[in-house]
Amino acid sequence: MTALSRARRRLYWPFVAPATLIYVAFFVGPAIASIWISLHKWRGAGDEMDFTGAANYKRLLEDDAFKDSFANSLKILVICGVFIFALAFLMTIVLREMKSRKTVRALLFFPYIVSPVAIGVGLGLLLDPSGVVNGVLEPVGLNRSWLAPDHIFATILIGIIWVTTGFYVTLLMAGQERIPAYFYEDATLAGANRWRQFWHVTLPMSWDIVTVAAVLWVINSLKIFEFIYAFTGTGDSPPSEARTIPIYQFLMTTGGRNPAYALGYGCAMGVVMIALVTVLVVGLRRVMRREAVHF
Amino acid sequence: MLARLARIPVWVWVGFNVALLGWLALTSLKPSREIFDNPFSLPTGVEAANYDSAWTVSELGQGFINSLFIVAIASVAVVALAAPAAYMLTRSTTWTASPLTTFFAVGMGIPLQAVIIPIFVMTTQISSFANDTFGWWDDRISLTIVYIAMSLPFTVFLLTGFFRTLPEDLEEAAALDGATGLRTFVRIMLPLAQPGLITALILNIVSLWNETLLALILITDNEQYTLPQALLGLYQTMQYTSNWGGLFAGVVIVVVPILAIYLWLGRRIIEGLTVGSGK
Repeated sequence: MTALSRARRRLYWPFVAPATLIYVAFFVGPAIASIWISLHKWRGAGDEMDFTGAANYKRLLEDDAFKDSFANSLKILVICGVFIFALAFLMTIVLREMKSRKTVRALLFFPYIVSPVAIGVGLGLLLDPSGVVNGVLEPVGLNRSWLAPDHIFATILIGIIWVTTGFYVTLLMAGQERIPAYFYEDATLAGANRWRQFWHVTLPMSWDIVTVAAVLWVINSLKIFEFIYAFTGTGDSPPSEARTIPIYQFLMTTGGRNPAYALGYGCAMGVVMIALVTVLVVGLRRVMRREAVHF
Repeated sequence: MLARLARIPVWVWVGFNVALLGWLALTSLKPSREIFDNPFSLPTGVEAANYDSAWTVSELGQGFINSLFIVAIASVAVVALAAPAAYMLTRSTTWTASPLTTFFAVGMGIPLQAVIIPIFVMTTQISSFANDTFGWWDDRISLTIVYIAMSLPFTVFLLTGFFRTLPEDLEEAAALDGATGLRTFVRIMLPLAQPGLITALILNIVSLWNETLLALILITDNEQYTLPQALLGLYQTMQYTSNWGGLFAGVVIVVVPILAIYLWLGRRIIEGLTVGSGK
């Protein structure tokens, strides 16, 4: 054994243990505790934990408000996902030959790193019934009450697409830039138009990044909270039309005017979210794996 | 031709982003009553009262300072904890190294909603324990610790990817020269890893500066609110105060630091996020 590997062996735990301990104590531990708490009826410290088995999960199945929130979360995942990826693919095609693509990319990306609370409040002001957007649309008769319960969810979907697309454009562009230029030159010589180039060169050759992007979208879209909360939180809690699993969990536990402190029930929602993420990510990877092309 | 036409919507989109920023900044300079009466007028002067009321009356100033400290301490601590761990996980041949790396990566897939209630319970208990024992506790400390823990998975993931790209010959040479493992790490590996460490630091600063859900749950005292939390508080009082100018100013106060970082280090942020995800 060399001096180097001996030194490494001695230092292994001193280097690795601090991060691991904090991660376990304040993240993994709580995740496991969630499963345990979800089997109880509990209102928090000071209240007796009452073991109820799967009762919280049965309640989830019968709770219409939860089912609506669950459906809304899936709608965000699917509807926004389709639009975001379609737009991001289109943009990578268009941006590939633009000189100013770095600037465009930087400006598209920016909303993604702005505080979602600031974005939510800003968009709320923009879409106010007597705000700027309606001021512009009124002459052509397209003004509507964007934030009224009838329209709010559609407005949220559009808002999420607007905020998030830039990030996926950036990711997919990074995948595209790794493809050697001669593939595109060959394709052009063979008479392939941009669309065919995308379909036969870009997509198969950046497939691993597309897969990672899809997995990231599944993980990130389900936990969107701040944007919706800020967007709808002008006074009372978000209307039922705008509730997703994270919003509903917040309202059933510590959030809202009169917190419900249904902690066991809230934990059950958290466990459902882990299960949902796991199933979707594993499924997605399986579906997307076969079509990979290596170069 | 078609390709040129397709550029138009892209420029409209980009133009909208710029216009939105400009509109927020300009409106923040207008008196409250003009904001909805004349939404398209340019500000006639600088209504500094908006910023004054947002900063002091609505306590965004206090929120700014709270966020500044919490985010600075948490981001530096995350990188300080993750760097040695990531280094060892890429270099060590011990059997635990590979499963531990995966163990950290799994954390990136765990939604905050799955841990937030136990964290709420645990921090309440820490707080009441500390209050009983030392007669003092500050929820901002709990928030900082939780921020560190939740940022570890991504940071360790990012930095293991980075350390893997660094050559091993220098460490071997240093070991032959008799340098200790710790000295090799501090004097040779950390300087080499500097670009990765800075990227990790910036990405954590940006994401923690924006984090709001945990703050809403863990922090209840107005004085201890983080900046986004204070902005939400200001927004929620709007139906009583109609201080619209102050609200616009508040949004600008939250956005400007991120805009400044983005203008300064934007390329690094973009590359860090995509390289981190592209591996």
